[in-house]
Amino acid sequence: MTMENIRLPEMDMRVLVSKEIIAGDRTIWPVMRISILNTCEDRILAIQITPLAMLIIEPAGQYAVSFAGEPMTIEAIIELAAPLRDVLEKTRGSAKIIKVD
Amino acid sequence: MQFSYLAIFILLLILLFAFILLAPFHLSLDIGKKGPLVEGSIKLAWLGWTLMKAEISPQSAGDLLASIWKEKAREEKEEKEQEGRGDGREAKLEERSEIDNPTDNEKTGLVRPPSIQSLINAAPALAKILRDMLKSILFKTVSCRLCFGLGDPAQTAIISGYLWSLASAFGLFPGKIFIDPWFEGERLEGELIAEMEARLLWAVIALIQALRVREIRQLLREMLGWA
Repeated sequence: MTMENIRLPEMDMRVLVSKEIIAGDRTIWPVMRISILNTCEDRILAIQITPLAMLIIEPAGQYAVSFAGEPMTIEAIIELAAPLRDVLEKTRGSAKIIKVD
Repeated sequence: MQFSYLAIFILLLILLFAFILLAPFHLSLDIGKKGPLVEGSIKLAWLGWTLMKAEISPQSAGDLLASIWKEKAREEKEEKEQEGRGDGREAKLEERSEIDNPTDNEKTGLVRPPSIQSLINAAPALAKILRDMLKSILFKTVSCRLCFGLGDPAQTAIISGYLWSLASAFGLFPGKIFIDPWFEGERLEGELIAEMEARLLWAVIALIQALRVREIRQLLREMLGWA
């Protein structure tokens, strides 16, 4: 076996938004990092799920919570997980419609 | 002279049985789902002769399920029509239902469920038979590729972990198993290609060895209603 044939295991990391959790009027959008360790034969050796933050949407407003214990702004969580921008836009849109009615 | 003919006949018969037991059966399986389409083929061959061949023409999974449901609905409709054809056929229908749902073993001659105790007693012997039977199957090629997503990345990752653990069991075979988790939504795609070979000899030996075990004989007696 030559050195060119040797491949090190590859780590694939993705930040994803999980399915929303609805608790009464409150909707929680968890954000997590999924780390996949692939072997050199493209098989999965290990998967790690790490919760990072969550976006909480309430009738009174929206806010973000970081699991690291640091304060987190809405902009910071959107920067972390871009799909949350659409979620917030939809929520704000529906809130506006309610106000008009 | 007559004795020699008989001896040759018995010898030929033994050779024929040995040939049937030793010649391997080949089973080829190729099933795939790409996008909404499901297609595949199953082929069973013995000594180059195709004993069974079935092909699933490319059709969507929805169409495939719809055709199965349609077939079931047609069968139910036929049964209802038969029921509505007067009392003359009631006896025949009763007879048919007895065959479909055997209740009286002595009458139908079919098997009946054994007792739990007999099953527990025979479990180790049954496991050994299963192991021996599996030994007679030689997996020539096994290739399985599955791409799935459950809509929730966390659930997809967890199930993916479980599936990879199960796939490690197949590491005993020279197979290739790939499971790709799809985190961007719901998805189910994949293909299964398998070629296996089995000889009847080992299965027959396993069966004979099983019949030598008292617990298995007891289980069979109960199932046949002889106990």
